[in-house]
Formats: sequence, structure tokens, C-alpha cells
Amino acid sequence: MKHMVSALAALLLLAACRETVNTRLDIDQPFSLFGMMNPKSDTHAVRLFEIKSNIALVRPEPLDAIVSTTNLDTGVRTIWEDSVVTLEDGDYRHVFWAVFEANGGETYRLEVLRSDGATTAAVTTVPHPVVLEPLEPDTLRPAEALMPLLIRGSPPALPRIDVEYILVGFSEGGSNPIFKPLLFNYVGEPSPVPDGFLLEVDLIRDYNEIYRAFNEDNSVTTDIIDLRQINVTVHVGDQSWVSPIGVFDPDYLVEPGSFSNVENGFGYFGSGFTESVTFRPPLALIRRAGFYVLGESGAES
Amino acid sequence: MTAHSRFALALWVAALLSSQITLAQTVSIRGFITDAADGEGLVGVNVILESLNGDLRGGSTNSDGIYNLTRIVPATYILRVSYVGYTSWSDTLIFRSGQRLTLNIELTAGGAELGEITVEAATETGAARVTAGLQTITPKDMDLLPTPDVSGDLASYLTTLPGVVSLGDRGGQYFIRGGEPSHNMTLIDGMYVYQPYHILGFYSAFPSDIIQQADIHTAGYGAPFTGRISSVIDIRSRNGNKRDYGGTVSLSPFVSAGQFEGPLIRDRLSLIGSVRQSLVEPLAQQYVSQDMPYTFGDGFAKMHGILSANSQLSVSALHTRDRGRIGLESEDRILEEVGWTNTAIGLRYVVLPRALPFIAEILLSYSRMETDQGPADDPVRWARIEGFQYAAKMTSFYERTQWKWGLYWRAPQVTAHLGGLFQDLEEGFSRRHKAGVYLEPDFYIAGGLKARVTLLAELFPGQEQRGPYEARFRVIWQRGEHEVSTGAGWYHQEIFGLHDRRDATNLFTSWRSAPIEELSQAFHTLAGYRVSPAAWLEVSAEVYYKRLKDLFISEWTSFPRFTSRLQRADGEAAGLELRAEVRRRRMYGYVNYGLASVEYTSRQPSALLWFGAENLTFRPPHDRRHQLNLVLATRVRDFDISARWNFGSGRPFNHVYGFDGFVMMDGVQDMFSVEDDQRVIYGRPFRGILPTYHRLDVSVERDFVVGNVGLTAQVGAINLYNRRNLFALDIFTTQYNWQLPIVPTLGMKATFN
Repeated sequence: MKHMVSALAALLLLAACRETVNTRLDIDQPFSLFGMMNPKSDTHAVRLFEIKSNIALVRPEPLDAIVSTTNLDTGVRTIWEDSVVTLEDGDYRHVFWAVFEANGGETYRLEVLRSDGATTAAVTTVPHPVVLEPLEPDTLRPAEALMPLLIRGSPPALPRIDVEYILVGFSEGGSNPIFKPLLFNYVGEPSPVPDGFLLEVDLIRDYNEIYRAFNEDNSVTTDIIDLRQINVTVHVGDQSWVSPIGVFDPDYLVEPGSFSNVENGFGYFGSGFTESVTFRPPLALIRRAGFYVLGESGAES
Repeated sequence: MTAHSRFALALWVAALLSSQITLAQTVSIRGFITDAADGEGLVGVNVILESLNGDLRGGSTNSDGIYNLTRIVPATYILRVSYVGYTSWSDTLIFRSGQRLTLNIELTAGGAELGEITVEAATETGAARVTAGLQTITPKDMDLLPTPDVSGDLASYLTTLPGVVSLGDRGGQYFIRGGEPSHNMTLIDGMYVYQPYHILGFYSAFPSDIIQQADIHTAGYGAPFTGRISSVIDIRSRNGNKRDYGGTVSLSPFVSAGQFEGPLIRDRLSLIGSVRQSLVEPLAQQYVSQDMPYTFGDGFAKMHGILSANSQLSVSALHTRDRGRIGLESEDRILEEVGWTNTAIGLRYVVLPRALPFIAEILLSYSRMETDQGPADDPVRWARIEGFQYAAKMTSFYERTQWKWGLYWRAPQVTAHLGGLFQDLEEGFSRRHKAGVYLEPDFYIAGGLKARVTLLAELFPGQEQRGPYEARFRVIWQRGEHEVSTGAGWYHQEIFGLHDRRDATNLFTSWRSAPIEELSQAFHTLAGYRVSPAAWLEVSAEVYYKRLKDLFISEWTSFPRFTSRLQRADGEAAGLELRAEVRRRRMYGYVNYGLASVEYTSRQPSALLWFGAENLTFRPPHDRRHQLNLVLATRVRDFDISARWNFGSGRPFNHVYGFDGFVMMDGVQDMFSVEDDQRVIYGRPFRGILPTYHRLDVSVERDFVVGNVGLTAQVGAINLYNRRNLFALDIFTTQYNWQLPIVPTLGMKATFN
């Protein structure tokens, strides 16, 4: 009987032991923010997320946040306004914005202040303008078709470079031209030169990819791939706008803190702008790459 | 010819030679031993051949009720057959040189005596009777446990094993000695059943009414079971009554069931069938203070025929279906439905060739499992695994050795369509057909020492995958009441199930083929000791270690979505299991304790960026360190009372810091229109520990007879002291999903004969 009572007591003790668990670790950071200042635009914006205790959707109600920037060179402080944007799926986002000119070389501190005093902040220095200059290619270099482009200036970072080929193809046996743009990512490829950075657009390498894309597209033939023009868009960012892994892969950078310049929070607040140029490489280079030049009997192989 | 092909050929030639050597043996006797009442094969029957000068030869029947004694010197013998609960049988036989006798024997229930000579049965049951990782259980073992139903079920028994971790009373996921659910092989009559456990954890596709016995290999299994790296549950169904018709009908708030068996051709052809349908939503949910949106059902049928005195053929078919919503709904989150179906059909032919002294078993089966998840009637993800299996298994007998050898061919193919919220749509299909050959001799060495060696070679025809070799061994030493066993071996697996381990409520499993040349592998080793210090007491202890290599798990990510991107991981599982079983006249019980440790080390390139090290070591969510199970059954007057108490220490889970959004800042963006993702700010993986789990279930049963109908009434309670056990924690909403509270149960079963 004594044993039974002991066993029962043990069971009751177990029954009373902990049933719940704290799933959340304490976190002081109040906000995550993603945004930028653009010296080529008079409007700057930052998307702000409260760090919440559950994954409930964002509400349109005003956030408990005051967003401001201070020009650290002049001391001028600007309060940003909240706006609510509705995404395609009906979800809401809070985007704070402000209208003022931010010039190259100016340093700004963005602060997001919660009513309890918790603050998230980031500092960025606006990059100076750059100029894109297509250079004369060396058409005599054998087995190469490199189109040089000088990024003149001193860009602190080049987080993205889009090289878009505007191509014309034709359907099998058809005569109507089909315009087909194809985009290539040249991030990480420019090399520093005394006047800035030199980007070499590799037409042969890209042609092989273009040929593969045309080959997989049943609506066009690979017999005629005419290169009409190339659009290059260079994204210039501040000195922090550098991926820790060299490329901007969301599966890597999604981890909070893996790419961030935000104090007491997560995300990235930078400054930057885009610069674009459009050109058509010399015909000799186009031919060497393998493209068809309309009006000629065939392309070089 | 490659080295691998030569090895496979050599194995095959060795196997053939072994049968040819056997051919040279001139006198043998074998046959089927069955129950005279219903024609069912009897397992573990002692068969003794005694010469007139007192020399003894012995053996026991296998799971088909087959015995086989070979290399007998021509003379006059007395053949004695004994089995607990049956009247012993004996006859005097005169063997002439060159004779190969087939003698089928029927035993009549009633006697209880054993002859003075007892040969250990090849398959023995008992809660503490574990030998080299193998435990055999019977329907009686399952029926002893309290469940919400009058009949027992394999799933309920599994949860009382110390090396089996379940997520709770729902979900149908079992982790055996460190492995994951997809690392377990479940077979019934040789047919694969890929996801055999129902969404409510008390039930599997295998009610005890249809089972003859189940072998649970938690490690160190032999060649016929290659293709899984953790465990094997090999179920042999009953053949059905060949003499009389019978059946049962049962009703409980959780499930209703019907079972039928009887002769289609008396003494030649029988049919057994079983159907179950859940009643959780219409009945149980009405009085349980919890939503239980689960529906499931299963059906099984088997036709078994005696083709001749030395051959039998059976055709089995199984179908299961499950559907339900696991988790909790919230204002911003619609709970998705998960469902799965299993279909399997198989043919099994067993023959004792007149001209050749071995047992041959031919298996041909097709299995299919489909699973989906998503909004009701609109699943956004689905996956399917299906395939044919063929196997030829031979067993040759010598005086002191037994050679198993065989070949197999399997062609599993997997298809997946993965879509859904936050999910990039992904389609996938792959097929991994393979062929294999094995040789597995058992040596009966003197002094109670037995050894088994397994050699296996596989080919993946037409694929770049190199076929693996595998070698295994086990040694058992038995003397008096003591038994010591040990074993080790290599295992591999070419397909695996992928699921989101960050969220325990996510039951969706997408089957995938392992990348070429990267088959999942495991090395098992174990050692055990068993002793029966008294006739009513048996105690055993077993330690095991498993090294797991190239496991493929879903990649760790802060996106709150299922990801099919693979991440390689290695793992280690080790444990100690202690068991004690008491069999007294009016009391039966057992207690077992499992101490276990599972650790994974994943190799994810991003881990270096995130955690500062390329290798991320963590305890997976099924790493339950301590388990204690206590089962007690007794009979008071005419009432059968049983109770079960389970205890499990807390399992790991992910802490969360919070939730925010994520914008990919890969260039200048328009912040008013750029797309973003929701994001979870996790703590370091699996550093949290959930609360402990414990539960007491009780039931009381009484049998009545009304005319020709036997009635069994049951009352009981699940979770008697109403412990709030956590089933899962929704870390996205911090909501708790509880297991069943106290649930009174009431059941009735009618048996027709």
C-alpha cells in the first residue's frame, strides 16, 4: 500500500510539472528596415517592418515609429512621412518617405524611434555620380569579342550590373522579326582602372547563352540572331553595399544580420543610383561573336 | 566486366553452389505445420527427430509454419512435434536412402505440455525478448494495451517500445533509434507500405485482427531488408480460416471495424478481410473538448490457397487513406489539409521443391503512396512514390548451417509537385530501379553459439550510380537462461523523404531520390544481453550505435516556407535500452527504459556566413533522451484490466526571436513597389526543449457469450490524469497544439463463429 501511495504521489507530481514553454527569446531590436537614398531622385523611401512576436500580416494602422534623417555634415534633420502601400496579394506595407536632395559625398543618419525610446538606425554616405563610356574595342584580338565600357568616377560599390541584349529573331520560315531581350548579370566583373572601373562585355560568352535560349524557344529559329543594341545599367551603391559572399543570393542573405548595416535592428539602408548606356558594338565584333548581321549572307563562326 | 559485377556474379554462383551441395544430401523431411482448427500456419513449433539410439535432431517452424530437417542418416526415427497450447504429435518414420519426404502436420489445440526436449523457437515473442535488435510481437501483445478501440493495433504497441519516438497521439510519424520515418521499411506480406500510420496515432494500417506476427528490427537486420537505413517492421498477415466462417464487428467513438474470414474452398482456399473507418469527427469530437478534424480508414484483404502439399500462394491487397488538419487556425493563417493514401497489392508464392531441398519464396508486389497538402480540395503540393518489387528468396538447410540467398529487383519512382504560399513551384520526377543479390549463411556453432554473415551486392542498371556492397554479421551465444548477442553492418538508401523539420505540425513528406553517388548510408552496431532468472521474469539490455552518412534534409532557411533544396547531413545515434517482463498467472506486465542521443551535423555553405562554421551540429527534433514505458495487465474476476503509462523527456525545437520582412537589396529598388518576403528570426537551430510528455491509459474489458455471438465490452480512459501534453508548438503564432485531454472510451465488439 505504501508503494502504491508513493507511486501515485510520483504520478501526481509529474502531472503537475511544466506543460508550456517559452518559444521566444528576448530581442531588443524594434525594427527591420530596407531602403535607400537616391541622389538622382528627390524622393527617398524606406520600407519599415516591426519585429513582431508572431507572423501575423502587416496592418495598415500607423506604426509606433518616427523616422527621420540627419545630414551629419549640416545637421539638418528631416522627418519622413508614413504611407501604406497595398501589395498585389492585398497585404499592406509601411513605406516612409521624404522629399529632399541628397548629394554625392553627404552622410546621413536614419533613425527610427519608437515611443518607448527604442531606436533603430543606419548611416549612409551618398555616392558621387559616374559616367558610362563605351570604349573602342580591340577587334584584332583573336578568339575574343570584348566590348569595353568605362565606368568613369569612383563608385564605392557596384552591387548590380545588368547587361541587356536587344535581339531580333525570326520564326521558322517566317519573315516577321521577333524582338527578344535577354539579360545578363555582370556583377563582380568590372576591374579597377585609373579612371574608375572597366567592364568588358563578353559577346562570345553571351552569344553561347543566347544561342541556347533561342534553341530552347520553339517560336524562333537559331539561323538568324541579330544583335540590335546593348543596354547596360550600372547600380552604384554606397561603400556598405557589398555582399559578404560576393553575390546577392536571397537564400544566403535572408538570414537576419548576414547583410545588414542597421544598428539595433535588421535590414539595409543605403544610398545609390543607376546609370545606363545604350550602344551597338562594332559590326566586326558582332560578327566575331557569332551573331547574324542582317543584310549579309552569313555570320562568322 | 566490372569488379562490382564480378562480385555480384560470385555471390550468385556461391548461392547456386550451396544449393547444389544440398542436392547431394539424400534424406530430408519438411512440410507445413498448421492449426487443425483453421489451417493457419503455426510459428515456432518445436520439431524433434529422435533416432532409436537416442540421437536428436531438431528445428522449429518459420513464419509460414514450415519445418525442414536435412542430412538425415537413413534409419528409423520418431518425429515429435510440440507447441505450447497444442497437443503434442509424434510418429515413427523409416527413412530410406535418397528419400525427400514432405510431411504436413496438423496440431490440435488443447494440450500444454512440452516434451522433455525443447528446441528454441526461431521466433519468440515477449516484451523483453530482444535479440540483436529484433523483437517479435503477436496480436496478443497488441491486444493487451489499452486503446480507444476494443481491438489492438500495431501503432499502439510501437509507442511502448523504448527506441521508438513518436510526435504524439497524432501525425503518424515514428522515429526508430535515431532514424527518420522515411528511413523505416514497413512491409506486410512482402509489400511496401510507405506511410502506414494513420493521422491519429493510436492506429496504423495493421489492426491486430489481421496480423499473425510482426518482426520489429530496430537495427542490424539482414539482407532481405536492404534499402532502408534505420529499421524494418516486417508483418506477416494471417491466412484466414480454411474450415469455418467467422468475423467481428466493433464500434467505438474513434473507429468502427469489421473483419471477415472463411473458406472459399474448404481446406484449400481462404479469404480474410478487414475494413475500418474512423468515427472521430461524428462521435469522439462531440465529447472531446478539442477539434479533431481527422478522417481515416483502411481495408485489407488476403486470399491464401494451398496449391499442393508443398506449395502455397497468397494474394494480398491493402488500401489506406488519411486526411485532416494538424495545427491551429489563426486570424491570418488558413490551416491547410494534409492527406495521404497507400495502395499495395502483392503475390507471394512459397514452395518446397520436390527435387531440391530448399524453401523458395517468390514475391511480386506493387506499392503506391500519394500525399498532398494545401487548402481543402485545392492541394498546392503533392508527392507520389510508387513502384514494383520482385524478390526470390531461397533457404537451404544443412545439418549445422542454413543458407539464405536470393535476388531482387525494385523500381521505385517518385514524383513531386511543390507549390504554395512562399513556395517556388517545383516539379520533380525520378526513378531508381535496382537489382541485387545476397548470400546469408547462418552457422550453428557448438556450445550455443550461432553466427550469421551477410554479403550483398547491388546494381543500378542504366544509371551512373555505382552499386554498393554491404556486409553484415551477427553472433548470438545462448547458454541456459543467458543470451548474449552482437551485430554490425552497413546499410544504404537511395530514396528518402523530405519534410520541414522546423515545424512539427507539418506532416507533408516529399519523397526524393538521393543524388547520384550520394546514397544515404548507415553503419549499425549493437550488443545485447538477455536473461530469464525465473520462469516468470525476463530481463534484457541492449546498447546500439548508428553512424548515419549523407542524410538529405531540407535546407535551413529563414523563409517561412517548405524548401526542397537539399542540405547534406551526417548523424550519430546511440542508446541503451533496458527491458523487464513479468508473466505471472494473473498478472502480466513490462517496463522498459530507453536512453538515447541523436545528433546531426549538416553541411550547408551558408552556415559559415550565418553561424561562423561550415558544419552546423544540432539535435534533430526527434532526439528524445529518455523514455519510460510501463504496461500492466491483470484479470480480476471476469474483467481484464490493463494500464499503460508512457513518459518521454522533452524534444528539441527552434526558438524564435521574432518575425519581420525581407527585401532583397541586390540593387537600387523602388521601395514603394519592390516585392518582399516574410521572414522568421530564428535562434540557433533546435536549442529549445519542449516540456516532458507523460500519459496514463487504462481499459477494462469483459467477454460475454450471447448465443453464437461472443461479445467484448470495453470501457477505459485515455490520458486518465488529464495531462496537458504538447503535440506541437506553432512557433509562427506561439499557439499550442495539445494532445488529447482525458477521453473516456467505450467500445463493443461482436465475434461471430
